Amino acid sequence: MVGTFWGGQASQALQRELIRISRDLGPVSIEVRTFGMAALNDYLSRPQPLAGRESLDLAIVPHHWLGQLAQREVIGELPSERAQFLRQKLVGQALLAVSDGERVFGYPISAEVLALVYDPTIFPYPPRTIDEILSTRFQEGVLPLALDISSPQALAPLVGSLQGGLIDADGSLVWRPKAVVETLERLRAAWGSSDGWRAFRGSDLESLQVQLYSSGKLASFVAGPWLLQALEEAGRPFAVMPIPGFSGAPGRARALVGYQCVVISRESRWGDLALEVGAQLLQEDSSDRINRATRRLPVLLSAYESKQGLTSAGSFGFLRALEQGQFVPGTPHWTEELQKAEQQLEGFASHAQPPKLTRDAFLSNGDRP
Amino acid sequence: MKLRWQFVWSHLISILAAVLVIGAVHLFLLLRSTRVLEKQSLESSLSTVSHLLLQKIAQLESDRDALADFASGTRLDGGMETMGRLHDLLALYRVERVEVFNGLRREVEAFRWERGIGRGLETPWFPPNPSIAARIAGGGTASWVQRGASGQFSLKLCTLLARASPDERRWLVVTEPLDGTLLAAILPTGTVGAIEAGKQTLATWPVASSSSKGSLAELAAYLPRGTFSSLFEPLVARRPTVRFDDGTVLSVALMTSAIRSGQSLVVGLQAWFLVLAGGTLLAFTLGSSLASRLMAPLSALLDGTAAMARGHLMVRLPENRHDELGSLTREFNRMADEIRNTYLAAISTLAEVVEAKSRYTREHVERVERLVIATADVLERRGWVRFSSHQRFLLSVAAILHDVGKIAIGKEILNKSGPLDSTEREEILTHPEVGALIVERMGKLERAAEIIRCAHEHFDGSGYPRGLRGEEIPLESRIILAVDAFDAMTMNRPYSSGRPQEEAMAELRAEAGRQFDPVAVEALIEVLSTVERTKSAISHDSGLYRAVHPGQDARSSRRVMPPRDIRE
Repeated sequence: MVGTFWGGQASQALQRELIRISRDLGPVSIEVRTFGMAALNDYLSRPQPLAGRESLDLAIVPHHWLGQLAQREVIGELPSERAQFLRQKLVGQALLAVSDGERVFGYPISAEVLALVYDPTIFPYPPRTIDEILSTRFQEGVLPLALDISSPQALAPLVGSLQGGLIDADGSLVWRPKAVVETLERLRAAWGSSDGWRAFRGSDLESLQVQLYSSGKLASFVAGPWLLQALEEAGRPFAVMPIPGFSGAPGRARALVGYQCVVISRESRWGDLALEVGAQLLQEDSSDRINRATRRLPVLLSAYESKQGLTSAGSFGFLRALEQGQFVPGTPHWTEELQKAEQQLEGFASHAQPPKLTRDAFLSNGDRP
Repeated sequence: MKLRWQFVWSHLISILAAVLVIGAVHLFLLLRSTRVLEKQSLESSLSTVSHLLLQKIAQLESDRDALADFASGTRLDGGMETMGRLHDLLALYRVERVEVFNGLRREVEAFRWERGIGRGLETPWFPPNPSIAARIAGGGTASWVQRGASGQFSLKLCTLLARASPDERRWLVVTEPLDGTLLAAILPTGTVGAIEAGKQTLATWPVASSSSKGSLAELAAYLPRGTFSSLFEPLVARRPTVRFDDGTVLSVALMTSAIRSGQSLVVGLQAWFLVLAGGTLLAFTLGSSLASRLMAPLSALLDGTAAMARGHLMVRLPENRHDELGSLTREFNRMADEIRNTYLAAISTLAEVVEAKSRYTREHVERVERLVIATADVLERRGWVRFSSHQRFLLSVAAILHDVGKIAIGKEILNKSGPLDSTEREEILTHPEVGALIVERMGKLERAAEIIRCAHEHFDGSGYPRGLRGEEIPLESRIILAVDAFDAMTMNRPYSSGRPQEEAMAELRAEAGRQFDPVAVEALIEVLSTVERTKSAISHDSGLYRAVHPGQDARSSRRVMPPRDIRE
């Protein structure tokens, strides 16, 4: 059984690929079970009760979960021959993302990074700073910028540019409240009145942002490559560029680069088979099909050499963001720090109306439902 | 081919034929029952999937009504706040797309990007189907299947919103894409499926490809494969599940591979081969056993016939069967008896001729034979030698006919009481050779002839006709020489009495190693001592010579008579 938080076409593509693989491997039945992100983490991390709950054999998780999953012994280290196989096939950062020294904990299958999607008819040239976007005059009822305010990944480039970096010498996340508050303060112009606040928080936010953008109510927003298909079908022109920083910020804005990884559960009854399924998902054809369906970026050296799947304008923008991005270590410490930052931001975003931007207000829990 | 293998093969072929027929019938029944079970299982899955699909539609109707409650009391302007609230409701009710129409104008729409994105699933207003349009215009709820601009099918559920004013006519439409994801959540593992409307396939799972809707038949490539499952047609089950207001009947079709049939085939073949192996073993055992039972008397007959052909005249087979083979054995024995008696009659005749010419009586011949056999028994008992029945027979023949060569010697020489001159002596020395030639001519008695030829050879080489010594002389000849000499010494003649037994025994001991074989002498003396000690004679019933004259007292009869059955 394979657990994933991918939905829609990504889940379909994964299922199709697993069916292909299962046919090659013999009489194997592989089931895909879709969870919410938190539910998947919970399912993986809890010891399986005696009855009524099947253990996952494989799961597709963000690479920054790996450290904690390995620490809790939910997943095990890949055998050396599999690690060697990865060293030969992957771009360097993808391998580092799933490694702790010589130990490798999963198969990275795709890369992802947040970038700025903007309307080239409004911005005749790519905006150089966030302030430039916010200072642009728009028609009534048009938001200049939207992003998920509860997501550290969305805010990280801006916070990092103000702090001068996001990672300290120990590889831990640097997330200073002062810089975060300043970031939110400087973004305040984006949501303006309470009407715009919903475009920065809440459920199905990506759908809302895409629809606001496609209906001309949003000039730019921070999005991941998985929204490319939605944007292409929306029918409105769009361009993609790396997220710009604030004007006068001491550092460059660098988005966090993440990877989707296949991990093998230690509770799997078919460990060797699961390892083989994971390796099969990294074959050139499989990887290309999955990345095309999920609109994520490849991790295989061969894909970058052949430019396979990187031909659309949107992909090019995300690729640039990937190149300029900040590599995220998959250590338990990093995950812990990221979760703390997430809790803080969720507390802030849980306010139904835009809260006051003081350090205390930011650190409060807000009015969670 | 040997008879044994013919038996084994005939049993094998019979049992194999039986196993093949039974196995084929068993396999047919097994596969048929498995196929029925598979079909029932698929039907059961189909019921579940149909039920779940109906539940999903019911849930959509419930969600539509809940959204309608919200929309009825709300002014929807398509602004940021309205969009935000609709998205909150989308997440709450898990609806993929919601649209509100005010008259012919789309007031607001909201959708989740993962499945309902784009213009492809927009609801055209009014729907092209006149009956749906009429239902909607009439203020009722309506449901229909719609093919979108991009070819994707979706299910639409519409309801008229409560009116805020008499002129207000607003409708709410919720949409569920009819795609593979809908089926993926409700299909059992190892099964592919399709949602169909008439002959049109609306959605499949797995999705055949991103560009094609595919059909159920195309999905066979996605079915799990098991051992031998490809030999069977995939199982397909269809069931009309729900009818919408536009008359569309939505059916669910499931297909699964015949994995269990393949497994049953494997099990059936395994059982078949197991029975085949058991049958082969049984056939071999039964065939071999029966062959052994039939072949034992046949082999004995064969051996007996071969022995007879080689001159073994004492052959007699056990008659322990009461069937045709037993009759055959009895007939063989009867034939062997007749052959043997023919020989014995000839021997008897020769012995009679010798008696007629020489001074020896028939008692001498009889005693010599009995003592020779008794001496041979002692040697056997001591483990020095082992005689077969045939060798024993030949020994008896040789003992009886050891002086048959005297036929060719003149009677005056044979019965001369004084010393023989050199001519006479030379003539008498020829009688062993002559006797051997006579016996050889009888056929099958070459060994007896050789014993007779050497019956006057001395252990030290001083005998005649060839002057053989020691082990060169056949043991049987050495025994006959000692016994003949002893009996000659102790035999009463019409004109003189025989020497006492002790004296003759002393003479034998004295000549042991010179004239006689010490071993033969020792064995003979044991025989004689035993007879003396027990005061019994050697059985008169034993011996070949006696067997030729059944029912006659040897001491009262002066002549050798042919056996009764020969005379008869």
